[in-house]
Amino acid sequence: MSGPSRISVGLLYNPHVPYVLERAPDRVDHLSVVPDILQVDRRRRGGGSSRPRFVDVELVTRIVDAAATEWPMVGHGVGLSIGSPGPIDSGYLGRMRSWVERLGLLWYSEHLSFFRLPRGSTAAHEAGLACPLPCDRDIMNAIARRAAAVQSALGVPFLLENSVSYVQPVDDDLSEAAFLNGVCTQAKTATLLDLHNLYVNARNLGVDGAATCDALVASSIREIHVAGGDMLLEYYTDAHSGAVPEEVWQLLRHVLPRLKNLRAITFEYHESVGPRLSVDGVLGQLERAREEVARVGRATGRHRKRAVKRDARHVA
Amino acid sequence: MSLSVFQRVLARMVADPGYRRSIAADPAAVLDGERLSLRERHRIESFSRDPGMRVNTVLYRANRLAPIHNALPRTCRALGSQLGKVLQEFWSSSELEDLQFPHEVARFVAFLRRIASGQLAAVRGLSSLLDTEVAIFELLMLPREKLRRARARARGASTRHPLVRVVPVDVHPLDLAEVIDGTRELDQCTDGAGGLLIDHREDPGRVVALTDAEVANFDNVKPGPTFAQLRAAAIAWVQRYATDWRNHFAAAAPAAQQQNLDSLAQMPAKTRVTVFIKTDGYHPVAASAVIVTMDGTEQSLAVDVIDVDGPEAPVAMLGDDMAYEYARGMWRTMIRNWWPGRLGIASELNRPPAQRLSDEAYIWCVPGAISDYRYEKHLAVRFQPPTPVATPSVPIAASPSTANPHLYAAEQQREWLALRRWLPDRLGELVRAMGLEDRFWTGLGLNSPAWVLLNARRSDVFGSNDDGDIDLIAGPMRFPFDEREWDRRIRAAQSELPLHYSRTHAADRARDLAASDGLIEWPPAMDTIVACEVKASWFDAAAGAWKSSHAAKQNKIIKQLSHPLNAGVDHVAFLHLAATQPANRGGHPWIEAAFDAHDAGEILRANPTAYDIFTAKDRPDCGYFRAVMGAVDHATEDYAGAGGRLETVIPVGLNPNRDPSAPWREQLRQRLARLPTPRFPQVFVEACPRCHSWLSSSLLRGACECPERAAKKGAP
Repeated sequence: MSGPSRISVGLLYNPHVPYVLERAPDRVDHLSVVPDILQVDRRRRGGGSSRPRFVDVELVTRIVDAAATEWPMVGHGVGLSIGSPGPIDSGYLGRMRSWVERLGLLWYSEHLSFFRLPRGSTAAHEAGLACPLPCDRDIMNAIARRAAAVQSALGVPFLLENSVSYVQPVDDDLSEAAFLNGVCTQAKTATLLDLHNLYVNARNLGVDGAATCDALVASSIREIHVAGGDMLLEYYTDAHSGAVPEEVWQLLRHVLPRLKNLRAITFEYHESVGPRLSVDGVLGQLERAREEVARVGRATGRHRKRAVKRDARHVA
Repeated sequence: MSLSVFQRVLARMVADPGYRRSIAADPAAVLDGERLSLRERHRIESFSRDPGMRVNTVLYRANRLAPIHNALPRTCRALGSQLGKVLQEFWSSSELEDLQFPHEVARFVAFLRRIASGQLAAVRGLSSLLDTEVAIFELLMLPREKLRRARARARGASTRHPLVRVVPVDVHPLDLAEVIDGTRELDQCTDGAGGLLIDHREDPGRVVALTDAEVANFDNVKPGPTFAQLRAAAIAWVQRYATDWRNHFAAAAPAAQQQNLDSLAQMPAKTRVTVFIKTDGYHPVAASAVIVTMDGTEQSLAVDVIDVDGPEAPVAMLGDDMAYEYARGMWRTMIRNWWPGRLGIASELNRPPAQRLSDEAYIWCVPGAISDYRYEKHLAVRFQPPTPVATPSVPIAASPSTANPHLYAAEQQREWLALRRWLPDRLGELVRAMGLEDRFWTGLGLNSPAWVLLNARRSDVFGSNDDGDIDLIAGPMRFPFDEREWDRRIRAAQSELPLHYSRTHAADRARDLAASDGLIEWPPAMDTIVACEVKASWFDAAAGAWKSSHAAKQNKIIKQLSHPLNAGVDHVAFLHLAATQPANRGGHPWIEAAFDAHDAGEILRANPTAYDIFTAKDRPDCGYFRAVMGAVDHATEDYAGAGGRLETVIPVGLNPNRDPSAPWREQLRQRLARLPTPRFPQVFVEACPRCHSWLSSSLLRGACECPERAAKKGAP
């Protein structure tokens, strides 16, 4: 019987990341990529057309395609809007499947939120912000059904990320941990635990981060996100604006021993802070994550890449 | 269904603080019409009062601002304090359809042009800036590689490249290009008109300023000749040129024939001519390189024409062909600086740069199509009987391949020739090394203006009684302007130059214009005077040793240096000019010469005890400089590039006996005052070895015509 698999320590792709990869290619185990920044979705502008709905943003895809031949990649979408009522956007899902194949994504994660609005309900089609969902049982059941469908369509494990919120939940049926556990159990999907989101909610809403971690089904957690934040209007925000706060590292230290199925830790930062953080600063964050992993006796390192399908470029 | 309503209301509360406040103030008035469950309504009411909603609104706006700021950073900056108001109006006027950033940018641009046109009009140049940034953004969002590949396949196309845009602008285009570059603020733009060329054919893209005429030219791009037509025209041109060259050659005097056989233009001798044509996407031909190869046996003229971007380009052009690599370097310069149609101002730039690559190969680079190059004048000039080369009175043995001697063969006149071959290209280096640097000019990338007096008698300079001379004495020249006036003049010069010319070009031209207008302060100030004693040596390649190194003449040279030191000159140095023998090993003659100069210099440096004339210990008050020139076969040592760089052996210091009030300074000033005010920023004054009169010019011209002058006017 084999032990827990190694934990990969990597970065969420942004335009500063290539500098890190160039300097220290071996110190980044994986890249997490937001496929939505690699494309322009022309249909969402409204009106049917014979033109292809999705167009590559070549400036970015050229770099990411090249990186996909070197680094294992995971997907981290922002456009599925799994919390929106109504049918899933099959065209969008098909496009995500093509990214899975094109970049060899090991798994695909999304945010537990909604941002797309039903067409016809308003002139606005998007909320402009990932809005948190009420943790109600009926919503949980609906999301579980969608998550199962998404996982089936993508052909790789599907992860849902705990959300960040700046308003107090009102009269929810469940805690967020119970909500995520329910989705995972019903849909047989996994969880992306964003420790910085937990920390933001702890600071702004008084959520107990460690208790939330403890309440999550440990075996469902496949990836962890860590990041830094900033103050805005007396609120601490998930701005990805620098180094990971010590409290987040402490949360990681708290939760790591339980997470036998954890496969990856990803550091998120915004490209605008890249120069300030510096390549060395970014590498320092990765090293800290590795140290925390080593403390619990787990190994770090790259996972085997999935094959990259070049002909997937023209799918969907 | 109610979840949809709940999410729509929540999203609107995030985007519209007024809506949120109205719910908080009177929930029933706003929410009664909405189909919300009781729990959803309770949540909405609670959220409307939650201060965290303000954070959501700020983040929502940041998300909407980010694509706009990323795409239009300079426009946002130029809007300044109005940006907030404009954005507020934009967000109020349009709900978020999607966050696909090209769409959001397009909506904002449309809003600015339509709704906020008042703000656009109120800020001079803002509309042009917006147009330029939009063009850049659109080019960035295109499938660039695909378009480039398609363009490469469409060989010979003369329609505008899809990755090129021309934007008319209503301020000075050069200024606006600097705004795009981030080196100027929009409100610092001067008046003007023209356009900006946004060129993304290659990464990274670039922005080039255009005149009105150039904008019109781009707008009128018509399908041009096909490659086959270009090829036919080039072949016909080469054949006509060859015929005309033969006719001129046959009609020329023997001396002219000999000189031409010794020059670059040996085209009719035998040969294969390859014309490489480089297109740039918006001109049919951006540049041509004519590579002439002679094998010494073939008498017929063979011509081939190759499109360097086309599929017939030979494998050698991929990088290992020296001629092509050389041509490519020239093309780069031409395409950057010498666009066709931009040549009217500096006609001398229209000369095709030519380079001998080896004994058998020559290359010319021509801006635009070779068939447009007018060679008639070139031939007429080339076949004039050669002007006798002015030489010193002592006969000099000619080198095997040129009428002018190489330094190794110059014997008694070696110093005299060496200084004149080295100095015109290297005066700037010497001036800097000797402490005459004016940081205003060097900061602009230019040499400091200076006058140089060569071979004057010491008695004429210092009023001493001996018969010896001083090889070089120099001082600074200045203009009666402050930096503000220079700035005005440089900008005026810039307005006359092609727009893409740098500030260095403009400063150079402004300074030349001021000098040619007679505005140099003359006679010059005598506050800093420097002097050099010069000796010349040559390297015997067969023996691997330096000859005439003067190492044994240490005492004599030190004594010579003591004259200017004792006179109180500010800085004194010894300048050792050295030259190699020309090599002809079958390679590139300039490269061979440069290698030889380097190797010979290494021998000098490796054997200081054998070759150094003195050390800092021997003469602590003197500088010591050295330059090793590479002798080029078929040419003399006066070509910059093959060695010749000034090397400091001992840095020059301040003469401890420096005497700013020495009487000879005023006498020197009065003597220089008799010469006409210089019209060039660098002026050489030469003392004739016979009549000792002083003559000035911008270039060293060899010996003066003093016998005639002396007969007419007598010695000054």
